[in-house]
Amino acid sequence: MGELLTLFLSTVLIDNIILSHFLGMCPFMGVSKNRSSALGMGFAVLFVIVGASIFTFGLYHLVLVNFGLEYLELITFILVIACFVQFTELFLKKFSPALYKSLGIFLPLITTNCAVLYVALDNITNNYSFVETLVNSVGVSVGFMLVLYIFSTIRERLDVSKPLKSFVGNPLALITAGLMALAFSGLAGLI
Amino acid sequence: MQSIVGLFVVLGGLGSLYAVLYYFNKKTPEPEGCEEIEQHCSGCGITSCGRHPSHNEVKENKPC
Repeated sequence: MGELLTLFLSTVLIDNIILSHFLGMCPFMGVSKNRSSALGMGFAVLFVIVGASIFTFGLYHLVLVNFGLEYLELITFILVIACFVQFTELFLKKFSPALYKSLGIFLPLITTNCAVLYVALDNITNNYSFVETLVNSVGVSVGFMLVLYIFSTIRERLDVSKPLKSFVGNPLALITAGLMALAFSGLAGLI
Repeated sequence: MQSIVGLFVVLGGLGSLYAVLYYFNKKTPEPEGCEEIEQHCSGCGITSCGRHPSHNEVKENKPC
């Protein structure tokens, strides 16, 4: 239990997917202009990462390993993630219009989010069990959502401030992201 | 031999599954109230997204 908690906390804070590994930077920079879109994107990513991790774990251990096809790991995982996103969009359209209205706009973005593929590959590389895979996936997603939300709150404040003209928009956002990465790197050694 | 067969089965199966899901997704109508969901997108920096408004502008500018 302690190990699982350590794994969860390290993926959320110390080994944060955005600020330590610099993955998923596209949605981090692109969908963090306001809090509502950041939260929506965060929840959508949470759902896709956890679901895709479960499917890829099953595919790898039940199919690829048994047939000696481990080398297909990368391409099959990409296909699984793409299929999962399509299925999610289809499912939400049919059975949950309210959820589709709030999250549906973000789903095509997630297919190209490298953080999803990273988590799926990381679970296999580290030889995690099913429970560890789940905890790792949830931890990465929560860390992603946390950083995205914090960044969106800062950007909202920056939007009403009056910085130098040349710093308006992405330059100031990148500086902010760098400072956040520095701040989070101070958490290393906590666990 | 088994691994080559497995290769085609796995890749073909996943590719077919994606094609089928994509087809059904396109065929499924948007729920009520969600028809204009793309109009709520003001466009972020991720131009590779299928919902980015720049794709609609390109389509509109294409000559007949």
